[in-house]
Amino acid sequence: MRTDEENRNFGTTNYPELGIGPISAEPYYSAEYFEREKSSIFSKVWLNVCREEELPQANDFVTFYVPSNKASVLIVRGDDGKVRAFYNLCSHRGNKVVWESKGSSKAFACRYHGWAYRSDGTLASVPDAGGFFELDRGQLGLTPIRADIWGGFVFINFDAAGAESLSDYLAEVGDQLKGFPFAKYSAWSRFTAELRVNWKTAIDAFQETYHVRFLHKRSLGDSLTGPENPFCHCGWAQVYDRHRTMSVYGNPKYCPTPTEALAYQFGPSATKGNIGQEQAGINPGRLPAWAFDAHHIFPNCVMGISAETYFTHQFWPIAVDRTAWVVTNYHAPAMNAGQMFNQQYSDTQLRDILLEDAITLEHAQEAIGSGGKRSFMLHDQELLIRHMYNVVEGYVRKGGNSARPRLLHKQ
Amino acid sequence: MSETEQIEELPENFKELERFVSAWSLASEQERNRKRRSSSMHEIRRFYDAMLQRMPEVSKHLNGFNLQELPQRECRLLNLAFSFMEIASAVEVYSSPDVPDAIEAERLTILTP
Repeated sequence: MRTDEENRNFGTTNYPELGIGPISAEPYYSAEYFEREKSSIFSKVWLNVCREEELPQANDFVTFYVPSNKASVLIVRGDDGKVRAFYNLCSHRGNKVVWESKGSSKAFACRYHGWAYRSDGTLASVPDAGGFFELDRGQLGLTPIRADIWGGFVFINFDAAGAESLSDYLAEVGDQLKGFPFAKYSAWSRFTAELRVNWKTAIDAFQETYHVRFLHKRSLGDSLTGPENPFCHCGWAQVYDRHRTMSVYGNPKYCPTPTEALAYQFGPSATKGNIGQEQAGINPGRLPAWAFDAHHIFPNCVMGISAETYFTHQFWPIAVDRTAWVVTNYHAPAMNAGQMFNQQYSDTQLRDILLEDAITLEHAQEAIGSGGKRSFMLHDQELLIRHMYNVVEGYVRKGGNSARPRLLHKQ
Repeated sequence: MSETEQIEELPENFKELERFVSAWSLASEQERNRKRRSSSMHEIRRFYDAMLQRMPEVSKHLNGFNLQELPQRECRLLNLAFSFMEIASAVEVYSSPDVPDAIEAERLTILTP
């Protein structure tokens, strides 16, 4: 039997500045707080938007809507191979220039009055141009949004005056992930939904495994808990300046269902402990019973990385209690039908499990919104939530980050 | 139209699975999920039992083909097997067509490239 002290050895007390007391509930339901998050976080920091492989060739593009910034965004690879981001907004009178969600085009012509732009954002042509006064074509390209790529992930930053580079922003979490061959897993499957939750209510659920035994009792209870770890304690975690990582326990004695066993014959699984991996970028604590790592790339992305596969969540805040959710499961391109079965099983399993999370989060948000609780309790194992709470507070209250980095804990 | 004409053909060794083709051989993940949710456990169980024992041979057979050049019959069989992957958890994990205590899957948009 573990003592209480052993059960509280996750590392919270290594961070006296994060405290051990309850955290305020206000950030989870206050509309005013949400407005401040939009201006101090979502308009200031790097946001994970897509994979580079979604635009492999010159002139390939994707568009999407970022509700927190009310911005339709165009990401396009230029003739020079460089990936750029723009407000998807005509310089003439503001129409959305590209209506398709993805495609390939050398130029983008606005459907309203025919203004056309090249894939590097510059203005290509203006119909009946002679009628305009002082038409400075050099100044009338699409408005750029800062964009950069790390490990094949495209990030954007709405702060045109921002000075921090993407690699500085990712810093230690970038080092942590270095070497994981993301580009190898270029086949993907995705689902999207709009959840009636605060974005942090959603992300918090993916920063702790305390809930596994209860919420996922049907689906994950046996694979991520076991007699030696009944509450799915994480064996390793690290908090960084703004980001966080934890390694999730996998029960080595888990007995897969018949179909899982069949699917595993042909490829990896995110829930079966892939024991003792020595691969770069995963299982940093070299835990013997390990299922996957969960990384929170602040503010909008959670990555779950296992051996030979990974998935991402993106959370796009719409309102204090509404969030757009994008989940993408990545695989190595299937070479045969068996590998496709493995991937189809993995997609279905991930979707089923996340649906269990989603309903709980919506119920939680509905209850939180009453304001009936002013504060929440956090377990030692919920250190990552405590850390994110402090990071968010740092941005909202002080306009910057107050949480402090570095080492946490190795078991 | 006679019943035989409605049945779509599968490769030679998998004739006994042809009775499931019209209902379960569906081309997209969204359609397969919709079919799972609109089916009874009885219907899912019949499909599951029939498929589970044949899956090793289905895999073996289809693994012999280039995925880019799958003949029609093999393609039908592949989609049937994908549906099996979709419904397996209904039988093995949830004992229910849909995930219990979860948001309605209808709220998801499932996209594959």
